[in-house]
Amino acid sequence: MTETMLPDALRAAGEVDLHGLAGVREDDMVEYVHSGLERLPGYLELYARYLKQRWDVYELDFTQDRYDWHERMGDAERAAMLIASGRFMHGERAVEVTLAPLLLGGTEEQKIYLTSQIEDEARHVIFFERFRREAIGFASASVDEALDGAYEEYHYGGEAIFNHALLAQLGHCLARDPQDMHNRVRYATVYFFWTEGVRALSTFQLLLNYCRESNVLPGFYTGLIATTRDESRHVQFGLRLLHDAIHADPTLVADVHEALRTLVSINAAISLETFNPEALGWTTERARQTVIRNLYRKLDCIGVRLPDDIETSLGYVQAGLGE
Amino acid sequence: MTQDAFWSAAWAEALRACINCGRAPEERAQIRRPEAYWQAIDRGRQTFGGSLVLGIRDVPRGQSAYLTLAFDGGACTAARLGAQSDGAEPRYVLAGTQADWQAMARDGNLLRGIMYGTLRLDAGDPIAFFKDICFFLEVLACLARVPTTFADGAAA
Repeated sequence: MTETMLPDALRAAGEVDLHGLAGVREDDMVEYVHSGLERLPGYLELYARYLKQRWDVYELDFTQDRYDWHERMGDAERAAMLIASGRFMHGERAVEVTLAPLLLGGTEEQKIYLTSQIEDEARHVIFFERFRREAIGFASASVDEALDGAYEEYHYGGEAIFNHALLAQLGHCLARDPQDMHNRVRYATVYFFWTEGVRALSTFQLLLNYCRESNVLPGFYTGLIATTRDESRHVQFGLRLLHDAIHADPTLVADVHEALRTLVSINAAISLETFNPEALGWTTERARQTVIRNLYRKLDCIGVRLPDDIETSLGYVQAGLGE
Repeated sequence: MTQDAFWSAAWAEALRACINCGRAPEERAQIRRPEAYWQAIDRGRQTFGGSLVLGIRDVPRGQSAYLTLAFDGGACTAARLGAQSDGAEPRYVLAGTQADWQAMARDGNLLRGIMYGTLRLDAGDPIAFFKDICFFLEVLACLARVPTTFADGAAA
């Protein structure tokens, strides 16, 4: 389905500017993310979409968010949002600093696209940093300080830091040999497929739903739904990369499987969740089902079937949230 | 309890003993982790064979660059310092600067160094390493559990 054939709500999700995004519902944006999957767009098509959809992170206004945070939100809601925003700030940074080796080994069109994604990720780091400083009130003097300040809530109890640490090490492998297809496919599986396409997208949907239903944090909502739209390009790029790599060399499916085995095993061992989705209005089961649904939509897209052992493990996937 | 100098032979031997000692059930209970976390550690301990090598990139004069931790049959069978990684091809070489490792020995937070990219796998498959990450974190947590003195006179 091309962008012009989309239903009105989804077409609007793709076309409106930053201020218009404040009126887009999270369910429509998540559908927009998945709307191109039956005909994955080319790398330059995604780059062209980036040029139209790019937004200015400094246009966001957190004045109302600051009031909401201190006057209208409960302790449990604040605790959940604190963890989520800290994990996402680190998550965006983890991608920003590891995409370059992937870029170096890509085709020229992949390189052009990836320059835009690196800029996206940097902008997303600033988005979460601004929210935490201007709405929550952290007094960080630099991004480094903001990241270190968020470390405690980031590292404890969730799998996010493990996935980011794995990403960092795969990035080092790619830096040594950017054209190693096994590691390119593994990186794409860990980041584009699982961390962003499954985990982060599910959490974004929850956070956006909470903000809209509770009528709080309008600056955060606008920035996060703009970020989610950016993720649509990232996810579609990653799926295209995986699809093309596997189509050219079907043995690379084994790398997808191995990466997923490791990710699922980390999830099983680590997820002692300090992040409570129920504080934001979702049951744990609804969060888990969202994760699973997001996973299978993408597997269908790249044409990968899972072996029985991974299928079985997925039955135990925890809904721990965060990129 | 004696305190050995960081990256000395006696310290390496104390590290090996700590790795083999593991944690008592009551100590595990104080650490808020799911049961699956401890099961993953026990599984890694039983199945990992070969060597995990820790490397220092900026070796001070006269000091060994590598610490080879050899594992066999569920135990750490040797902890040897050397100019090069010891024995057969290591399964993993995890390297950082002296300051990185000393920070790790002080606060025990290996994952922070790996996440920020200061500690890097110079050899070995990251996907396989992370499949046993709980085990390796537990092994390297011993860096902070062994009483240690550092060149600056500080102790941890």
